[in-house]
Amino acid sequence: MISNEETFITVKEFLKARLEIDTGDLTMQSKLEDLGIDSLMLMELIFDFEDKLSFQMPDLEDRPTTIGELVRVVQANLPGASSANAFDKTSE
Amino acid sequence: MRRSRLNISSKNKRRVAVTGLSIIDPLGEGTNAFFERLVSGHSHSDFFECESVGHVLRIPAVTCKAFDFKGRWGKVPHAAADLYAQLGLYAALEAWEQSGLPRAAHQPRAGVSWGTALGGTRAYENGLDRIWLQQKPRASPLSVVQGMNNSCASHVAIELGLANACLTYSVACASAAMAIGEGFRRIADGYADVMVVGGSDTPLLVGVIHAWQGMRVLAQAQDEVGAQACLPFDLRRTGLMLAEGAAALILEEWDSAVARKAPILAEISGYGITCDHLNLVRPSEIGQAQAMQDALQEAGLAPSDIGYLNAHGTSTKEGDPIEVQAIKAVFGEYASTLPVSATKASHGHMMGATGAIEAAIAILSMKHDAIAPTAHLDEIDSQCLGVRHVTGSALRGTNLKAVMSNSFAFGGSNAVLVFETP
Repeated sequence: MISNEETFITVKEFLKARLEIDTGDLTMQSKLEDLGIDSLMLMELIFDFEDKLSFQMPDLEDRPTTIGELVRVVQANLPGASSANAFDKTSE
Repeated sequence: MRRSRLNISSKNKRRVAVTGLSIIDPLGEGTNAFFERLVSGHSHSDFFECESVGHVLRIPAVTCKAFDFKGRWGKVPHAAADLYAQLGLYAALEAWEQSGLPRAAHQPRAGVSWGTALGGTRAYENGLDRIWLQQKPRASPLSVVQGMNNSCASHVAIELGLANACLTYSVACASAAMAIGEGFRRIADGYADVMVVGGSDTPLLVGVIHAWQGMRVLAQAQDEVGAQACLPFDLRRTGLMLAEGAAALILEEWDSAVARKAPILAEISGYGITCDHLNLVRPSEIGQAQAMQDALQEAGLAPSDIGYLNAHGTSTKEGDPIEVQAIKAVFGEYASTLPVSATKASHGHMMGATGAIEAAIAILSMKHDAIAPTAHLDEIDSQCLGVRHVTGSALRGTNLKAVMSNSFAFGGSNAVLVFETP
């Protein structure tokens, strides 16, 4: 199972490749909206994770708003994770 | 020569100027370089190859290999833009820049009217590849917004803050010509002051090519480099040549354009549209002739006022002679001296975008007083005689004042535009 750090790196690589974003200053607190990631691009981002990590994400009840929330959502839904859709906005 | 605008049909109509223009050059050197090659008789045709099932498709075509959105405008505004939208957006932004109009976040009197026959072809093919060939459970979430036919117009509106109408016309080969004409009407009738008009299409994909091959109307290469595949009006012609590309014009209410000292390239003065309502593919001389007549009437011009006609001229066996007959019916005795050329011999058939590039070429012809030849027209079919075919090199110095551009489509839709010098 990949770590949070590895997922974070995957996110950065995607952003750099698809949106040509400078990922040097990216942190877990970086807001998706500030990076130009609207709802459509977020879906594409998750779609890319599903391809790269060979899993399928269920429909999300709460849309992640930061890189950190996105990383945790992906981690929580990877095969072998303890619970689904488990991310906590207050944990940042 | 002055045009009368006092007849009933033009009462209260506003005049409309063309203040910006851009053609996506296949070689990436810009509109002016493209036009110079065109008038020199150069053909941009090459061979295009792509993987099909068990074999390689190889057809004469015109591609935009040198297209570089990022190099000109920075990163693509939204990663969702399909190539057809990127081509169109590039052309629209360049035309807007040329016009000198300001950029603004919200422009309620400016809109866009765009033509495309096929829309986001790559989105559809990528989706099919993913679901059927790769057997993935889902298609990309961007498939819809990349594939939808109004994608390009939407991107143009978003980038330029255009809050007036955002229109897309999908009328096969007449798409862009109708988009231009309807944009013209929108300004003339007072519903908008500025319209970004044009067209874009990208037909060079395996599914689209197979579809056209199924109709047996694609050109066969006449030489090893594919340069002489598209031969409008020529006895040797074998069919049409697919091309990808885009072109855009900026249309602006005349008095506003004059007041801000805009670079007025031309006046769009006539637009005729008809429907043959007879057959999905076989064109009608009557419908085509009526569209030309209507465009002349709206412009208030006599046939002999037209100094150049850019023909639809797709190089099909059936279509070319019918268009010539229609031209002769409209222009009468003058037809034999009317300079006519079919520039698809150089830039190919861009499907829905073709009306835009040919309108732009017609305008540039006036600006440079140079009429491009029909490239490689060596043996005129006897069924296509009766007009003054421009062959070999450009016809220059004719003091062009008014030009006509024809676009005739599958489904029987005909669209004709008339432009005049400012």
